[in-house]
Amino acid sequence: MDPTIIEMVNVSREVAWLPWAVQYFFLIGLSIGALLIALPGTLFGLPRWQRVSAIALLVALITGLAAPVALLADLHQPFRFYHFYLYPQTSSWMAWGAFFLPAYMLLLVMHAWLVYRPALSEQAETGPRLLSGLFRRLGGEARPRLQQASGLAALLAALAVLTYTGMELAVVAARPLWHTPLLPWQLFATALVGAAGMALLLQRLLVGAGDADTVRHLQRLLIGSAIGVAAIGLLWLFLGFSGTSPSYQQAITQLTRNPGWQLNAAWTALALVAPVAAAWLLPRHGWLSGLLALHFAWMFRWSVFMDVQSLPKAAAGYQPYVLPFGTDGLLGIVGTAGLVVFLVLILSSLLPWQRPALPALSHHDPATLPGHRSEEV
Amino acid sequence: MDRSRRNLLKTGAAGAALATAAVGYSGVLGKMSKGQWAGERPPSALHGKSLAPEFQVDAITGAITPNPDQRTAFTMCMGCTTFCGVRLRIDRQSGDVLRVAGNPYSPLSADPALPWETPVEEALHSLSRHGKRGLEGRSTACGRGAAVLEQMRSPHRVTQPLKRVGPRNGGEWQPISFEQLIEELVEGGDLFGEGHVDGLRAIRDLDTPIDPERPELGPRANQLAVIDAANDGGRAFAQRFSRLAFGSQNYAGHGSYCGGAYRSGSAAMFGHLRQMPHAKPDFRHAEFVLFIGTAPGNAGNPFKRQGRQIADARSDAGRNFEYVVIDPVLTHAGNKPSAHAGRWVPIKPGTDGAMAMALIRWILENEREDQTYLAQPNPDAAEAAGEASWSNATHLVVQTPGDHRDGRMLRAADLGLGSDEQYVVLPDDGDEPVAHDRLTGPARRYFRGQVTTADGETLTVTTSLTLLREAAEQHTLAEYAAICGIPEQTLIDLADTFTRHGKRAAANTHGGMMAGNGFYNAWAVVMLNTLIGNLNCKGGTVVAGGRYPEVAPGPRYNLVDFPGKVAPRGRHVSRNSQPLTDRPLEAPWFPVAPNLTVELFSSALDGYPYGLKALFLRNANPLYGIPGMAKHLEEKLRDPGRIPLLVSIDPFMNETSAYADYVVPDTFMYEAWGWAAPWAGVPTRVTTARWPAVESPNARTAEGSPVCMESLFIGLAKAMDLPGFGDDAIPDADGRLHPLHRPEDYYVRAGANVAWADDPVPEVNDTELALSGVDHIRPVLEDCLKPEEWRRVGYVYARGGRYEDEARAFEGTKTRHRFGGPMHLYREEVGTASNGLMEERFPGTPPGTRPASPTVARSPNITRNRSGRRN
Repeated sequence: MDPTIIEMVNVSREVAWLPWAVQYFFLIGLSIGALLIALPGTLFGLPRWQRVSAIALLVALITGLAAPVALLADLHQPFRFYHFYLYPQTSSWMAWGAFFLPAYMLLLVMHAWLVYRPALSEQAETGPRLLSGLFRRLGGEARPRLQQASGLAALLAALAVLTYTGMELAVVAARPLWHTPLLPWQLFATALVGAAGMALLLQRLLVGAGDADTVRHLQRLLIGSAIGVAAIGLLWLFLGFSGTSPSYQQAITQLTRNPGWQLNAAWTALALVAPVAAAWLLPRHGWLSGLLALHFAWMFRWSVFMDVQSLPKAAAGYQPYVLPFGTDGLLGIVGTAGLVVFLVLILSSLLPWQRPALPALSHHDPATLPGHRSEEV
Repeated sequence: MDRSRRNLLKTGAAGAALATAAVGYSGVLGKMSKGQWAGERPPSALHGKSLAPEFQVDAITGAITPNPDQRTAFTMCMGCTTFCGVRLRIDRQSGDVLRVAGNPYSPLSADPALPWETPVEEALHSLSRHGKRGLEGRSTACGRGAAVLEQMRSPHRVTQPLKRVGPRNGGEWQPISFEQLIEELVEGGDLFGEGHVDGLRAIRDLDTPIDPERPELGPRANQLAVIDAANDGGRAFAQRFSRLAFGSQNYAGHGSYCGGAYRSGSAAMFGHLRQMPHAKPDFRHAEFVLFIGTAPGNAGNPFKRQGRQIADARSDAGRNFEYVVIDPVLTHAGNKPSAHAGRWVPIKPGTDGAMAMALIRWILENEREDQTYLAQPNPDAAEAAGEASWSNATHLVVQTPGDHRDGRMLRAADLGLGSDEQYVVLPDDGDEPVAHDRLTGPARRYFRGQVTTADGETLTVTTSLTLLREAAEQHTLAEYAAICGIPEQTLIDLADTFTRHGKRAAANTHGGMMAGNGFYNAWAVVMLNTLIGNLNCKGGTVVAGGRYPEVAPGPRYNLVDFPGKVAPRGRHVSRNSQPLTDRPLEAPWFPVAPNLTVELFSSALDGYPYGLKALFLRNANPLYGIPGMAKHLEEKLRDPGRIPLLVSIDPFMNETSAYADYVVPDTFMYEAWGWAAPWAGVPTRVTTARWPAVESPNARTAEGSPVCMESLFIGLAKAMDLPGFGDDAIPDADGRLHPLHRPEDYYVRAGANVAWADDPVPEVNDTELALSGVDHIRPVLEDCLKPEEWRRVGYVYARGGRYEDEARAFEGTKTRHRFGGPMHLYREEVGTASNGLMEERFPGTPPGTRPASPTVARSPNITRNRSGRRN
């Protein structure tokens, strides 16, 4: 990594983690972040959080269902995934994740079902005829205790998934830039930024520009988590340059000399400032700060995965990653986006996501809450 | 927007999104559909693609059971110029080589090598871990040796003779029959529609001089030149055709664009500028080795032996061993796990002479050289003093500018003390000069003064050592440090360490000398060895132990002489002789160099001193190998008027073959015959055998031989009725003449010479023939050889050659096979030579920083910058 060295012969290694891994980390991060944003409403029943929880829970469902699809694709031999269950390796974080992730998905879906139960039985009457039978069966009385228990369980599972996704990167000692306890925290903080962003975006797309309170609420969440990202980032830089870990310090110092990485650092900083600025200066245009926040969350993960993998472990030069056009590259990214769009359309149409049951407020009619549009969009 | 329209839109959008998702995911779905093995499924889930072993060893009895589907062959690798003995595993059904490993009999592939007369079954047994021996008996091929195997079945091989269609380097070829090839090469004609081309028959004129005004250039037959790459065991055969049968003087190897600078520098030290002897360290016993380039594990010859012995030395905790690699490039020879034993010292390229002269200066100033060694004036005195070799350090050199003897060694005849073959020294304890071989004790090392000749003239003379010291003192250590980029203290440390181990230290170099000033750089480096007198010593430097002569006058077959043999005469076209002085020179001459391929090209294309009518390349690619050559010569090479006939004999197309008129396939590696020996570094006698263990894919001649270099030259010779080929070509010990129609007629009979050298070897039995795979060529052996011969030659082939037992390498602390001549601190041949274009003579002792000849601006042909930089 020293630009004064001319390397004559070396081996170039292919990247082990593909863009699919970036997609998975992005989506699961959004899902968990969105769940955490939803829980004050759906778990603790805080009334001011109701509409925020509504949109956040929808985001959590959408991204939570798309995430494992991307994860499966990152396996070079995807059909072998069942080996995780036949031959569990308890010393590997990734192996634990094979259990945490389905648990999270299951608990998320269960929690969402319990949250939508009352609204589903209503939908059975007013919704499309084809699905009325299904809705009737799924719907029913609100079960606040069960809902809270499932919310708690989903929270624990979410924390487990958060831990394992962060740790499986942080344990790689061969890559000093990953090998820091701050990485899981930063992934969490950036996930919150991304989740708030996606919620803002979907709020605009599905609900419209009318509900200024929700938008403002989400903007505040965005700014708050962005401040957290900045704090963790500065702490990371400080610890890096201060030499608490020699290999870490060496890695960071060498990066500062590289113009490509200087650009990367500038872009990251700008990408964080932009949504905050948009949220601060243009609070009513939630979709703008939302898009910028999503961009930040995604490019942060791309940087952590693909750019860091372009740093060779035992060589003097860089091995830049060139994004292929096929399904392991651009097409895969586009495909994942397509899946998310599909899920947005289907889930927002079929689910009564705007009428979540809040535990303490289960006796209130959700339709009477201000700012709610009763017709489907 | 009304609801149904909106729903329709939404459904459409959802469908499109799902379709996109499916397309993006299609690759993954494809992989999933393959089930558990999305990639390539190996034959075994446990051990992948590994081969079945070629034999099994019973764990209790140790008995060998060969695998009936495979056969073995002990033969020779041609991946590099080390030509290691290797062991092949061949699939009986397909006839293809499966894998290459090492030959445990060969000292190039095993350390220590098995005693040569070990039964083959025991040799195979020693390769296994039976008896808890683990890897002790292993014998390996290096990475290249294992990989070059792929080339044997490369789809890019040339298997038929090709004739060009259209202009040279046009890329269009037409396969022709072998008979047509011979016909056209011999008779010539309007071969390409570009005008008449002289065939070999017309070129082979042994009487008419090329230039009537300069008969010293030789006859017209010299206008055939042959260039090969290295002596892979086929050079003698090619020279039998081109020199001894056809009669051309011009045969060149790759040395001038490879390690030639080192070989010539070493040749100046050893005193044989044409044969170019050189020595290599005895790694097994050395305590300190200084590598100049030639980093172990990266380079060097013998490559694998050097790498392995250094690896053993530096990982042996009980061994006192240290090494330094001086190299512009950091290689893995300098690595952290071996940091206790080895380190890397960076140096500016091409400045190794300055480094060596700095060391020499410090050593002489601090009297750290072996003074006893340098003081011995002749071999008898040296032996009496317990030395293993001797030098001319004490011999007097005439240093009287203006005198006709200036630069020559002083002769005893000059002082009336003896003959012209005797040199002159001063005794250590007296003032009277004496002939060098009359003194029984040490002579004076330093002297600069006057002597009176027999005619009463006064001559200023110095000893060779004085001249070396004065040359070293041309610069201070600080100046040398600035030139080579190595700090002064490091230079001092190196010199100090080098001289702390008596004779168990060595400086090693080879290709690392490839710079424009490489000749003197190399001489300076090997001078370090001479200053401590380590030649022929355990732990010092050793020459090659020699070979069992194959292409020899006997004892069974005379392969060097035949009725009608021609003695080639005349100057080499590459100007490596004394300059012609009758006319202004158009290019420099190289009186101290061997045949130089680089100069051969420029000479031939410019017609100075004469042009060529035909050029044969054998496994050579000078257009690629010589830096800047393509750019310089492309236009001229494409012009058929300059070299009218250009033939390339090569299993592959290469950058130079692209310009040829004909490309003739050659047998490659394990399909070919040959006999080779290591260059140096093995102190025992070694001859490695190469024989066709597999069939060649090449087209066949009428005799059934594959088209190759040998069958080409046989065909050409027979078509022209040349001596030494065809019927009645090879005399045996009784004078009876045997035929040479196929390559094996030559090589197998050479094998008989190997088998009978000194003491005849035992006869091989049928079991060993089967185990070693030699039964594959049994019909050939029985056909070519006499009944009492073929089993002994089979014994040699069954072991992949003939190797002297390694226990015989040393007698006490000296090698058994020694170089007997003096080491030259001053070499008269160099000191009295000039390239003809400059007034001064070459320095006769390494100066280190002066180039061999300055860049010549006068001649329009010489546009290469001599320091090696591109123009």
